[in-house]
Amino acid sequence: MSKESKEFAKIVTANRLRDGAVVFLAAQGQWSEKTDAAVVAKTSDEEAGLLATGVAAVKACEVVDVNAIEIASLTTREPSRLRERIRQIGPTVRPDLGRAV
Amino acid sequence: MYQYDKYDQAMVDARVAEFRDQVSRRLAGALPEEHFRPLRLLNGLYLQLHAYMLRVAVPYGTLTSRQMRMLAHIAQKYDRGYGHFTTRQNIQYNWIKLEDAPDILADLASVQMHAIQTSGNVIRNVTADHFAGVAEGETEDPRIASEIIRQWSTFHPEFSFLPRKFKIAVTGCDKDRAAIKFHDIGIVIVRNTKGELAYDVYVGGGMGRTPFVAPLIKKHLPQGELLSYLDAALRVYNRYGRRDNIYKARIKILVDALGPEEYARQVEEEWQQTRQEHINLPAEEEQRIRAFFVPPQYSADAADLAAEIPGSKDVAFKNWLRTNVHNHKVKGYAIVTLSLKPVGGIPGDASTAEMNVVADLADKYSLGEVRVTHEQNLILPNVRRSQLHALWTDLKAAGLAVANAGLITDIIACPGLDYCSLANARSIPIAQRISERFADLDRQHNIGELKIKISGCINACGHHHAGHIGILGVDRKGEEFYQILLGGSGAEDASIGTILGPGFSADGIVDAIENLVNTYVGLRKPGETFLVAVRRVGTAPFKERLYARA
Ligand code: SF4
Repeated sequence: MSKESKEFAKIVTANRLRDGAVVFLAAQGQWSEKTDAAVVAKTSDEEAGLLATGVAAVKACEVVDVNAIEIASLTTREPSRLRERIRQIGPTVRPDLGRAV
Repeated sequence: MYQYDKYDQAMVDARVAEFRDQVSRRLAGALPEEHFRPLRLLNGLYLQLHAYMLRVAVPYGTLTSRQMRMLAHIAQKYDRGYGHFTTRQNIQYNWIKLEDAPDILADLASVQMHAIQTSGNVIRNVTADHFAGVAEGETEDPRIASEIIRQWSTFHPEFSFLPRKFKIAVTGCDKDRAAIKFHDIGIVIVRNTKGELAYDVYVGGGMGRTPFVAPLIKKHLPQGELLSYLDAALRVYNRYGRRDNIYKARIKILVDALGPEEYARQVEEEWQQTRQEHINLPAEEEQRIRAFFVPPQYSADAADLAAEIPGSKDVAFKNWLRTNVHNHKVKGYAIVTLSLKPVGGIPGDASTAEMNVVADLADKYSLGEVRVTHEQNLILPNVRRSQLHALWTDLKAAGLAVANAGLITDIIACPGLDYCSLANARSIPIAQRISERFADLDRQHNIGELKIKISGCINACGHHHAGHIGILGVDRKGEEFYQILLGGSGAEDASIGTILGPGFSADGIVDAIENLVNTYVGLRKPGETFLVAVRRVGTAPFKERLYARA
């Protein structure tokens, strides 16, 4: 894991309500299927702010299951946990169905 | 096969209409997620890692070719061209859109299928021996009792909010292919001392965090009193099951805490009450249901009855006959396992094309019927022996003639961390790599019967406790690790596997499995299967060699 991962770096993820797709909170409260569009929280206050946006999006019936997840790299925004990496790229056993990150 | 009457159809159609309304209100913002979630779960719609997952019930594992075609259609139209057959004889679709779910349920209803009882703390879809109705030596087709239970349990008002989910399985054979003793209730159809049909009822089995082999709670329950007895068994559970602690809420914990004798006594007491409540099925209704399971018209001719099966000089065909073809109760017919475990494949997955091929072959060779097994394979239950070679040739062309049923590559694996939101580790890649390591069919046949079962977490959907070799994925400080269990069995000689010792990394697990297999091959007596050998020598020799490497 890179040195960056020791620093606070989180993004907010959810599933889109209408189709369940994995999405990440991007600028201006938009939700993107790509992690590279995700806004990175560098402090816990920023994380709380992003989560508040997420909760509002749940209320607005845009997404469900909002979570802040740690990322291992600011460049690739690759999540630290395997579970989240798999959510990001799709099932490892079906690379043909994977999503371009 | 059972056909819906107007009441069944009306119930299922009404459920589709109700869910359509719920989904549209949810999408329009009129229903918050906390209210909607339990409603979607009642319709088998889960939210998993990548999308919604729809679990469709295949009651007691029986499908017509028409239903199988509909499953293929759904995979094609609403999913990504495949489905996953589960260890509960169901099918799951992994990429469902919420907005499509009502249309999918309507499509299912058009072929008398649904996703009811595939989630929640209710009596779940009933499972049964996948050889039901065709097994040699069967006492009675377990689908009759299963269908009665299905109708009794669907939307049962008293049992719609149980302490926890509740699974019932039924078999009509001594040989247990339905893992009866690992269910909340397992029912074996037997004959009593007077030669009448009766039920032996096992209660309180299960896997998960606290595995138990179910004790026999009621011997020789009279056949006509099934429902009043089940009602009593469920009432005691509903009253005393641990609603305060999700980990202790299954009936197995209650039966263990009370002791089987005391639980049986309480059920017996309750039963004296429920017997008076007209819960038992009227004889004419039982007859009506029974009539749907009258065996089809079999028409074996001399060619089917011939001692030798045509084409059996071909070694590959012969291997397939040996593992994937089983005796049928009617002379001249055979039961065929279609393996969904090709080398390096994903256990239980079937593509749209494969499902359509199976439906066509069911029409061509098996009186239009297909079965789903809890071991994640499919069955053609009614194949004439003279047509086995032709069937095998067709299956080979479709990649479905893998001759590995019951062998080391016929692995059960749950979806694990590739799909499941509860998982700790991946299951499927481990199954794939083991199957690649043991790809050589001669070697597999030489090893003989060996059931490997893999779960991606302690919930044990992959039945790891009941594997001759069980593998449990755990998360150790963010890394996937795999514990090995030895000596489990889900058959009539049910047993829970013993954990061998420290787990293995994803890199080390396949070598570890090979080490166990080599130990077995080295110590087995002639004709001794893996499980029998483990039971004879215990785990010590396996452990010694496994951990000596380190
Ligand atoms: S055993 Fe665990 S990981 Fe596997 S399907 Fe069940 S809940 Fe998911």
